[in-house]
Amino acid sequence: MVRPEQYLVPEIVRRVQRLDLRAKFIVEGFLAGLNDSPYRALSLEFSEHRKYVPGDDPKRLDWTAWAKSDRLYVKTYQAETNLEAYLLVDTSRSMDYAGRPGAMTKLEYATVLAAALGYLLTSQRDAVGLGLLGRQLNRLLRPRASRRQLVRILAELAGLHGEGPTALAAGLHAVARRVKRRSLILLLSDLVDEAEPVLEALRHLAFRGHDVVVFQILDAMERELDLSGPVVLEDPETGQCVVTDADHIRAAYTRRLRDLVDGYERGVRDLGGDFVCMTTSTSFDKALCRFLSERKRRF
Amino acid sequence: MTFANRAILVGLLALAIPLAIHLLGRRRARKVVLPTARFAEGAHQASRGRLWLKRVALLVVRLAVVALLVLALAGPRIGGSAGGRWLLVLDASPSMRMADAAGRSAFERSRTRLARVLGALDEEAEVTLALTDGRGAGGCPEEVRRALEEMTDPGWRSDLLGRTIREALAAPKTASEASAAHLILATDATPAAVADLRPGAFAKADVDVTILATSPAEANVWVGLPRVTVEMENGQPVVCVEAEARATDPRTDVTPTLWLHATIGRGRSFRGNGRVRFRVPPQDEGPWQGNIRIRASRMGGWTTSASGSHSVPFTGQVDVLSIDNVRYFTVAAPRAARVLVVDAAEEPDARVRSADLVAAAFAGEAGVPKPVTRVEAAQVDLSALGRADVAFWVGSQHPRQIEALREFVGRGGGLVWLPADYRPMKDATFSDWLGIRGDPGVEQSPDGVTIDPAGYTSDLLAAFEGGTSGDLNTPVFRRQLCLPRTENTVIRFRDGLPAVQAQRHGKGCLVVLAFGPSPYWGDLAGRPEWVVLVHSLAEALAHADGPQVANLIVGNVAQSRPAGYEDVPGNYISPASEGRRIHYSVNIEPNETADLAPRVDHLAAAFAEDRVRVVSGDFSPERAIPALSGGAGTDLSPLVIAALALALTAESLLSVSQSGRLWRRPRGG
Repeated sequence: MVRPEQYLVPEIVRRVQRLDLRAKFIVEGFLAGLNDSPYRALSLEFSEHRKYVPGDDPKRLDWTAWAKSDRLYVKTYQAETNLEAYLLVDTSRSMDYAGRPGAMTKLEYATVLAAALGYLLTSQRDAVGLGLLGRQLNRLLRPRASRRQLVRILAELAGLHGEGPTALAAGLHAVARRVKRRSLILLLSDLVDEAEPVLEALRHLAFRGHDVVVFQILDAMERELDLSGPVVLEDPETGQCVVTDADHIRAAYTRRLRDLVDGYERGVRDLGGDFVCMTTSTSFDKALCRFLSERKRRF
Repeated sequence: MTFANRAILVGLLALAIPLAIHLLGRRRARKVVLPTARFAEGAHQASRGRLWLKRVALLVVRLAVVALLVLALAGPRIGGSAGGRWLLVLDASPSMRMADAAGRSAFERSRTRLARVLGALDEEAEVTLALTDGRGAGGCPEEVRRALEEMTDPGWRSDLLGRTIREALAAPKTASEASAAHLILATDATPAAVADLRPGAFAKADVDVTILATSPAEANVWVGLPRVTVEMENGQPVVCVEAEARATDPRTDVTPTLWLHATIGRGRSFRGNGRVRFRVPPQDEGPWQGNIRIRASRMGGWTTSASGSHSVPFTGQVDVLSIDNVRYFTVAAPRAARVLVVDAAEEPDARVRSADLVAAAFAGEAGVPKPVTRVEAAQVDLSALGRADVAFWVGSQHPRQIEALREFVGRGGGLVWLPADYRPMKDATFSDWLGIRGDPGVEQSPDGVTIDPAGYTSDLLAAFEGGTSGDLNTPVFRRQLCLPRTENTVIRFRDGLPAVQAQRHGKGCLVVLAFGPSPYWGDLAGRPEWVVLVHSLAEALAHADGPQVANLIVGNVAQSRPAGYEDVPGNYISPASEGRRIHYSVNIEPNETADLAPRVDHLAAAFAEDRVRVVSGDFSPERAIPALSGGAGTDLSPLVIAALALALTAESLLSVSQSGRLWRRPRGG
């Protein structure tokens, strides 16, 4: 029998067909691993006092209550309900790629991750919306804090397939223009695009007061160029081919790709956002942790 | 640059392999979809030139690896003298038949060594091969080597070494006018062979000389050429023989013997080194046939004998005769066949009996000593035949008990029939059994048929042992009977008529000769070929082991003949001879025959001192030849192997630099 924590591994999650179950299993597996984690009760609104028991964090002691009653109480909170988050998923053709046959594509990974984030946000009574970025902003669901909203989001995500070239900047600018209320923007993309326009668009979002968390999703093949000998490399978006020797260009290629990732990370950090680079084999809890960490920092 | 194994250079075709790998490797690029291909393109553009350079370098290095591997196997040399002009002189005098303990003659060993020399020469080398018996060959090393392989035996006649060298040096140059010449002499350097060489004779010749001198493997007996003169005393000719022998073993007894016709004069013997002179008056006016033998035997169980012979039939006054082809040889064998010689001549009053000549051939020591019994035809019965292994029936008389002869042959004996005179055989039963079938007739022109002196002994033995036939070609054999052409012919005359016929009867063999030793028909009985022939016949028919050692010590030819003498090989008859003043002489002075030990120093002195190198004593084929090892240039094999190692290292480094690791493992995608 599969334990809940194992659903954090993409290979395990891929066995589950339904996207809503995938999201549920991931979130439940993630929460099961956070029994004593500092994330519990974070980002929550004050609910009530309870008596202090040895082992509780002394920082949570309510000193005012102690001064009044001479007893030790600890504050407990309830989740906030005024957070609005947008899940922006890149649906360009480059996302529909898996380095190994049978492996999870980048789009599939982004879909599952977006679903899990949506599930987590909904379970915390946050309002969650969805944006699909292709050549432009193809679809934008306004955030709502309801189970029905989650069902709609999952339905949108389940029908995704990659097509068209990457044009993230235009989509992001469109989001910046259309989303008036300060929100948490969660971008899931491979970012195989010109860095400066994308960063400019992200700056646009930040300028509008949004908090940005960027999840860059790459395939292991893309990161390491795990090929050998003479190869013809074809760009699936442009159809252009490069005849070269993989062994020979590997070093220069990985250096260029690393420069790109580093550039994105620096740019996102500069605008006060968070940047997470992961591959399709990365466990989902890494993304969820980064999300919760960012949520705690913001709210 | 030269190569030891040029044929391996065919392996350079393997250069096509890395080339094909290079070309095919470009074509088999896999198509891979990669969203980040734009970064690969950038990387590719940045290192495009370097990649091309590495590919070309890798191809060049791989080509170099293959080429260097082939070169290393081919054994390259540079700056050597294995090319150029090479003169090979092989002593083919009878003394080169001297065998070592393994039974290999000096000629055979020299031939093998020269073949190895030829194998080490460049293909472009210009080679002249000259043998002292007149044979020779020229051309590229491979052609000469093939020709040398055909020269299996030294001839019975041999020129002197000096003349052969002179002719070889005078051989016309063709391709390599400027190339230095190399002369390799393979010889036993007997005094007879080097008699015509004087110190410094070839000192001015522009040639590097290597002398491959053979030497006897064991102690032996050296027999000098006899000096024979005929003097007139009281109107009668008297033969004077001065013989000399030396033995390397002081325990050797030397006994010179003069045999003239059937008369045997025995001189006193001496031990070790010595000289003897004795006189024997001939019995009548001639024609004479003389034979001189000198026997040397060593105490201690084995016997060697040496003999020299010459024969001269004459009818009138002869001023000077040159003795041609005087030979000496020693033979030893553990056991011998028992021989029965039957005198079956029809003329009871004949002065010279052919049967005596046959018996004398066995009585002499020129071969394995064999016990010989001589009987008249009428005395032959089963008892007499039972004590013999081989019977020689000499003459046309019908046997008294032909059934006894049939039984003798049937149970394994050997019967040799040979004519004694001109008379046809009267008894048809006997002639039919012999296969003569009636009157064979008499050869009408006995002088008309002569035969070559080429190796009849081996042919004869081969005919008996292997059932093959050969040609009996030697000028000393004259046909006396015209035998019918049958399938039993094992040796033929040059005109195709049978010389020797042999047929099986039961376990034995019946041999019929078309010639005999009659002195009225030729000088066969005085020739060493005759002695060898009857010994070979006896040993072959009696299934004897044959000679174990047969060393011919000295071979020689006449240097000059007086004017007016017909040059008929084997017979020197002066047509204008009158009177009885006869002088025999041999062409080597006694002081030159005093020591028949190898005279390598005398041979070497004929050339410039600083250009002669001698390899003597051990003459194994494996021994290096200075002319080749010193003049063969620099062996490039170590350099090529080092370069090969460097190329392999470079190939590995290039592969690593291209793939990023030493050993590639299959990558995905």
